[in-house]
Amino acid sequence: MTALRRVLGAPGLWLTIAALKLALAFVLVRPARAVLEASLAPFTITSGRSALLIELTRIIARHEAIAAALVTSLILTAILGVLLWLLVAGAVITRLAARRSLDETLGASLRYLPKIALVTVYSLIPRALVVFNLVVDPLGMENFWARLIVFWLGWTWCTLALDRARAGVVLRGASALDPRPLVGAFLEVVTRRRGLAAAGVMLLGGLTMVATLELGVWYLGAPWVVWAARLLAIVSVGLALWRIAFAVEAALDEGARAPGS
Amino acid sequence: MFVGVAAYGRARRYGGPALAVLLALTLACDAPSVPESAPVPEPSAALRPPEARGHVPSDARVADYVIDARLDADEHQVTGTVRITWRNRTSRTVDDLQLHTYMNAFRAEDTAWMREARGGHRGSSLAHEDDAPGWGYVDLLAVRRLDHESPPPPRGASELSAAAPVQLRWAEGEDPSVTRVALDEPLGPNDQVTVELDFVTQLPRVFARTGYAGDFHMLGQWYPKIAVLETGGWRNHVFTLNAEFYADFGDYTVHLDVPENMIVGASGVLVEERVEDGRKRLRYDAEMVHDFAWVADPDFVEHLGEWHGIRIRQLLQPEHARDAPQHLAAQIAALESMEARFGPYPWSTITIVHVPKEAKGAGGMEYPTLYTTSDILARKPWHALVGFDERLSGVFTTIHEFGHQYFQGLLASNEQRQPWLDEGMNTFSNGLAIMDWTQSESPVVARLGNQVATVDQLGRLTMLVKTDLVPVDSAAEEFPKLTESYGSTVYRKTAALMQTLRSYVGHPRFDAALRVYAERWRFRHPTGDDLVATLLEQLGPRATLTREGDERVELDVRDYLDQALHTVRRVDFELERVQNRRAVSSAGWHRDEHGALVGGEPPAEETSIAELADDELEGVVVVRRKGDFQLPVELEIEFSDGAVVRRWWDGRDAYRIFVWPGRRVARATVDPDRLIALESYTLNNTRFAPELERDDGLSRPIGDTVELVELALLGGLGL
Repeated sequence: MTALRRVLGAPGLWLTIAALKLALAFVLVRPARAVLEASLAPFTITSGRSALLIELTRIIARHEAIAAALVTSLILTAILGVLLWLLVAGAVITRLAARRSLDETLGASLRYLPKIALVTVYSLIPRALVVFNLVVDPLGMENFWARLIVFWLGWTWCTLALDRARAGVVLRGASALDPRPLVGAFLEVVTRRRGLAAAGVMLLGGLTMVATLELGVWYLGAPWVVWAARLLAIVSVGLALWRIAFAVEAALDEGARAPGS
Repeated sequence: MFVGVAAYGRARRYGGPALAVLLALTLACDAPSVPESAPVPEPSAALRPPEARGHVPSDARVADYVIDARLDADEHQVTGTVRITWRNRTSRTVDDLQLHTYMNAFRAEDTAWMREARGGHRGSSLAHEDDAPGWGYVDLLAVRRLDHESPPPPRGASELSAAAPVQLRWAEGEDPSVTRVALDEPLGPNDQVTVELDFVTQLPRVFARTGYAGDFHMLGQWYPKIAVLETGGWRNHVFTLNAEFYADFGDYTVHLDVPENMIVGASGVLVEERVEDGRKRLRYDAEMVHDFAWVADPDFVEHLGEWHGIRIRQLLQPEHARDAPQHLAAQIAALESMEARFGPYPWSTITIVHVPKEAKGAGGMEYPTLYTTSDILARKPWHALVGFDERLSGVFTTIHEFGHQYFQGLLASNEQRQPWLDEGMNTFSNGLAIMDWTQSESPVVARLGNQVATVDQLGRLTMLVKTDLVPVDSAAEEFPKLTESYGSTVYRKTAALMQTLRSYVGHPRFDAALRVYAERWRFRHPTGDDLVATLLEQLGPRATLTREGDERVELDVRDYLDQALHTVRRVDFELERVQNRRAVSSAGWHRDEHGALVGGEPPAEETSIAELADDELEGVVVVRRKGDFQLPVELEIEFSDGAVVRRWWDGRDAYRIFVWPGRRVARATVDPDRLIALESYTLNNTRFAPELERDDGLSRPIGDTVELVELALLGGLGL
């Protein structure tokens, strides 16, 4: 069974996670938007779409709470985004491995949550190194693009290794306390062809993120832009599931090869 | 003509300034680190030829200087002699000479300047990790009067100290930035005196305009300089943080002795250069200037340009040499604009100095025919991804600092007493220069994706902070550093008040008035009163704002300038109410012609405003003057049928009610043409009637954008 087929065979999973993601973003922006509306009411800005940032700066200068509300919204989103993916990881891996009942799938979310959280904590160490290299540049790579590529490759490697380690925990019962499966996953994703494919899918996912941000920069204020972003968000969920499905396949293959299986 | 100028010229012809800047940028990127420039010979005289330089009044020449100075680059010290020939152009008799010894401001923690600065200025600090203490001072070693019966001394260092001297006594004032020299005999009106002073100047580690950083030496306010004698007495201010300079015009002959490897830039023209024994001896002449500054650095890269006989010399740091064409383009644009608006630039040279990064504190400072600029922000690859571009760094500094050649270089106001006359009027003129350059009334100076910022928008933003603490027309020391009000008030609010007046009286009228001011006060010391008097004379006491047939509303120009310059009143108009209400009907009892009560119809039923016909209601708009600045303002009202009308209100009362019987108001806007640059908070200027209320125009797009970023975050974390 190919990784893509696993994803397409679980449209409910895809749509549920996408809906959660859309709802999260939709809900979390409401308070900030309400603060902005209340600060402006009952007036209307007519200076045009090209002056939105200037007008936002102007109103923030008078009502600093708006900046706090906007930043809080973004920080909350990042935190809740991390928690959301932690929470659903068990269910995603379980459901992508095989068709399961709703109870079993939801149950997997909670059952594997502590182990998945622990593996994720381990994975923060290499990720921190990757970010450190981008920001501080200890290797002296003056070329920005080269540093960005190194960052992306490093981040992708960490993500794919984490996917693989999580799949091992859920599907193979690997120990979460022992960091060696994660270390092994780092080796595995660069030595198997499946790892390269997953990296390609992750690149597509990254491109959807860049495309979303680029839309925001170049079409700020256009009424359709948020809908385009929502569409891209649904696509990016599918790509994330596809990426994880490669790790699921690898874990299942390992199980099939294991003695006594 | 050098390659950058040629390309700029071609681009301007075919694609306008935007393309020109783009091309210059491209050239700068593709060019070798030092863009080519054809040699432009040093002019033979410091002033342009008579037909090009405009009027130069002979009686404006008050103080001539002959200076001989030697730079010890290792000790960062200048040893020199200055001979000052000073003419008493006033009706007073004086028994002393007052000197500015500005460099002493950096002598100790407790000088007036350092007390206010607390060791820092515009982000630069005197404190440093190396062992050198970094203090600066100017120490007078001797002062003598030369025989004033003898003819004025011929120029040349060899002539210094030739005449028989009379030793004079001197003493520093309470603050060492002022020094008094007692004359041995009083000096009457129209008399002149020649004094000679030996001095040693220790340069500070550069953090505020002047000093050294490594091999770089910026010599501004480096020699003892005579103060201005006015009818009321000597104007010799203590040098404080924001107080800049004030001096009389005169001719300078300056001999400099520097290490051979130094590349030197200075006010005026280079007339002689000799090299001997590892030292370089240079002679500069500067005519009709009120200061002389110079700079020396072995690392400078030279770049030359020329405009109508004016030699434009840039001294760049090698790492920024590729920016030379952009600075040159900005310099030429500024020259074109300033000459057209404020009269001829009289001098034959302009030198643009790019300071090294260790000497940022010396950047962005003006001296006669020489100024320091700032670096153009380096473009990063990701700037293209987010569509970031700007014309604020570097290029704007070049335009601003060149503008000072007029606003204080030529119109030599007292920068300590009325800093708005130079910094504020110059900032205003910079906006005009950028408009002229871009041929746009709203020039874009920064861009991010589809978002743009114009000069006007950024100006209004900077005025949101601390412009209501100190009146514009205040002395420099009345803006304490702790209030952080100097920049927004002196620079920005002055520019805004002039911009507002220009919009109210009409651009051609205002520009003509300012041209009269600039012509009249060239090579003089105009005060704020002189500027106001010229504006009142040229604009008249009142400007009619309304169209024929409308209720007459006028701008009282003097009252406007009084409020804007001498008070901290704020401009803020708000639409208190925009609504439609039921018109008064004829229901109820009324007496007929016989005195009998007739009628008695019941009151109209409660009906929502939206359901009423237009002839059953009246549109109402209430404008409130929320700020305390009284100023006429225009109002635009749009009715539900699409018709638009405009009305002026004199803005005297706290509010004004406008009523339109039988018409349904849809929207009202205060100051629809954004004439009032003094109004920084304009978000309360447009309001719709409640039944027609719509999107506020900001919360939806900003909310959408934040949601978009959140979606990108959620999808992009790869978790």
